[in-house]
Amino acid sequence: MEYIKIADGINGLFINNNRFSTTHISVNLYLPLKKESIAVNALLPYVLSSCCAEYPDFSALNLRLNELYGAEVGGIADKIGDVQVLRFLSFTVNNDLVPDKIKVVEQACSLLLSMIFEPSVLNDAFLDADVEREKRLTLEKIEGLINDKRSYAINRIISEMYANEAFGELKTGSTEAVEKIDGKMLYKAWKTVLSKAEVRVQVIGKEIPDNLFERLAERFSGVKRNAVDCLATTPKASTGEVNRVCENMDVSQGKLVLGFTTKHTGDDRETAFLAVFADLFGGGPYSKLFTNVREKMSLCYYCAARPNRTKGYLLVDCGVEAQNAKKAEEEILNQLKALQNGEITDDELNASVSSIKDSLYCLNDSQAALDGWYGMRINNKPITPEEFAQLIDGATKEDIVKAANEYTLDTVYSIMPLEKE
Amino acid sequence: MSLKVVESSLIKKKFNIYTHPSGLKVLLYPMKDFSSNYVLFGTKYGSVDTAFKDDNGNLVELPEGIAHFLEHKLFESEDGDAFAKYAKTGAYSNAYTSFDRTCYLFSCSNRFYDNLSILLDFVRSPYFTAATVEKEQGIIGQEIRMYDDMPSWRVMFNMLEAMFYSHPVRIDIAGTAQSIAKISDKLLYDCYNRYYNLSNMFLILAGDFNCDEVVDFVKDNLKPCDNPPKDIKTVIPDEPKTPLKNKVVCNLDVAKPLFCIGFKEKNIGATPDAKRLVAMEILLKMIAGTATPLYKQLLDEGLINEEFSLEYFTGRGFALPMFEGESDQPEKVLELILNQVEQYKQNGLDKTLFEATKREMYGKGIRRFDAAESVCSMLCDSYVLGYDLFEYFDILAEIKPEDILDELNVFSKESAVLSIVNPRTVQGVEN
Repeated sequence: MEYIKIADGINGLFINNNRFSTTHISVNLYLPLKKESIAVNALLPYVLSSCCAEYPDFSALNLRLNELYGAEVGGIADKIGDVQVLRFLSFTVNNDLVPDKIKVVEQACSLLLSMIFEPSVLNDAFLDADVEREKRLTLEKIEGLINDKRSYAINRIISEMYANEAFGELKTGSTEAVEKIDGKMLYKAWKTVLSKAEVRVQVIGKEIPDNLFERLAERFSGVKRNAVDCLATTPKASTGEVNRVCENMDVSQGKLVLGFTTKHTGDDRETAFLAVFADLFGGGPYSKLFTNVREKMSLCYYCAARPNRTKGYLLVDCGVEAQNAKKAEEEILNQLKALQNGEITDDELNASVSSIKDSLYCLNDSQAALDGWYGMRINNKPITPEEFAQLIDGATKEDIVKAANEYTLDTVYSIMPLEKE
Repeated sequence: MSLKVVESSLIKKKFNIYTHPSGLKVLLYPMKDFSSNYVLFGTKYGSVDTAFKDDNGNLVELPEGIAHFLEHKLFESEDGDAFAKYAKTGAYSNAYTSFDRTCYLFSCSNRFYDNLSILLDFVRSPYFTAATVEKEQGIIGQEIRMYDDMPSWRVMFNMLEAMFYSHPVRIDIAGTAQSIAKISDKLLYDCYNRYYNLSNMFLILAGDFNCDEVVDFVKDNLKPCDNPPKDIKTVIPDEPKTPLKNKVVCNLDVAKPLFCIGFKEKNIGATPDAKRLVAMEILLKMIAGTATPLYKQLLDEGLINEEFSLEYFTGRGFALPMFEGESDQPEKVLELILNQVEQYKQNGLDKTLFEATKREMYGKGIRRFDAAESVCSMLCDSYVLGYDLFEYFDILAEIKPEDILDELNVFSKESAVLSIVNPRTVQGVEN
């Protein structure tokens, strides 16, 4: 693994790996997550990756990508705690594997740079047709969240837990904010993002294609860069009170989500211990929730605990019959109490530690997983999966009990079936 | 020991096949320098296997969802459940049942042989009691309820139910609360003994291992079955060539109508070969793939969004092209798809698009060899459907536009089934 400083606030990361048939590139732009700019920034990667000055029509662009042996380029927006990340990705089959030996990697790479730096614009504004199309797709994505009740419930509890913070917003921003975006606003956001974002380019593959880092430095030299924004996350302080929200919908199965907060965020030892705790609580099939709530009590098909390292919360979610919801909630809290009281066998701890370590070592076999691991870590020399595995390996029962006691119940959110007459 | 090497000079990949004395097929794909291994142990037994002929030639019908139920139950053995055993090694383990197969899998970065031993052991050690069956009815009951609320699942199964009169692909994989209530420990043993005969099974491995060592290990750890293989031929009832219904509508709690469009093929009950797979996949991408004028029109006119997808839905004994998505005007989407087909019938295929589509499938296909999981999945598909994986790439390289024209005949107004899930607020007929 190689770190290369490209310019101030612009860094390169190259993971040399000959095993894959693919060259995987991501350009990551990191910005503070702010309520007023989430939506407009989040729309940018979608508009930028759907067309560019050279290919203003997206079906022509897609035809070109298909000609490059199915090269893929795309953009997404995400939240990393109180940081917003705009990611531009390209995956291309390596040049030596295509029959006519054309330089597909370099050509796809040039397309990626064109998308970021040479969008299809007119008079300091993105074109209405492109903006309106991507707005509609985003709005329909937001509207469609309701279709999957499990992920809808998770989005809803986050908005409840962080109601007064930017983090409480959806990755896309709200419907109202998306509706207000126009071509001029988006153009302004594009300029601001290029000038103020912390940038990391990640390449995973055989080699860095054709002076990519130098070409990127050159592109950015044409941008007037202001001081790069400060990126930091504040975890939520416990209020000591539990917020309860229940929505009734026309469903046959209820959904129950419990949200817990902790003051720890980041990549340190404590975070590793929190990860082991969450796994013992509701991760693998050896976890307290799987063995008790699902297997012993047959209350749920799924009952899982998922920690979020970047903002410092943990969610337990399950699908449950309305009449069993209270019982399930009590049992989830009982199982938490058991862990807080140190009811952990050596076998359980070993199972969890070896399972997490095993999956961390598997990351090396997936370019997307490696890219995600580093791309979702904003500090300049992120911890490696192996280093994190070492921290996990050091976890003792005492560490886990301490971690279990770091969490406070913050919000209980549920969707329950409508009362039928 | 005889390892058969299957090699592709075109894409420069190879894998090995070993046939165990029991008839079990072992497919091995070594991936040098990879840190992890992925292994599938499966049987050609899925939700479409709803009836068989017993030794006396009598038709025995099985409760819907029993293959899936059996998959859940196999994790429990007399000496504890498989999850507990994997918990000691740290492997990730899971299982799934689809229309035409049941697979048990693990992935791991170390203790490969310990994990392989657990896998080979628990899948070969059925242990069902009345009490454990009853407990599972509760858990699977909740799984079925979860799917009932999942619009993307419902819209597809409604389409399949409308397309077929009696072909078992129309049956929900998990069954229903009523059908799983009929499952008993005895019935599970009957199905197990019939469908989990090693001669009906496959073991697929991808990762950094030595093939000879794996084969020796399999020989030492798997004894040939005591019972001779039974006739496991799936009984597929006669099926009319046109759909039962051309349209089916239901209401669920969704924001926007969901649609699933399928086209009924004439040769019902046939499994497609590699040539048909390539031809139909190219054609679907040429009808409404992201580089087509139709896709652009659908998107520009607000008729689809990012949920739109197309697939050649295939398995052992069934095949149909399918389009899914969200739209306020699903009828219009169907109409435009049929228009595009009509244009191709009249004017022939667009050569530039044809070549670009071939390249796309070739590049993306090669990239699927980058991950042990997708390698196993490709090998599993080709084994269960009975085609040669590398032949697929050879055909793709050679195929000409005229080779796929026949496939256009699958698409017509008469063969089409449109399934719609409307929001609750939209008044529609519940078919």
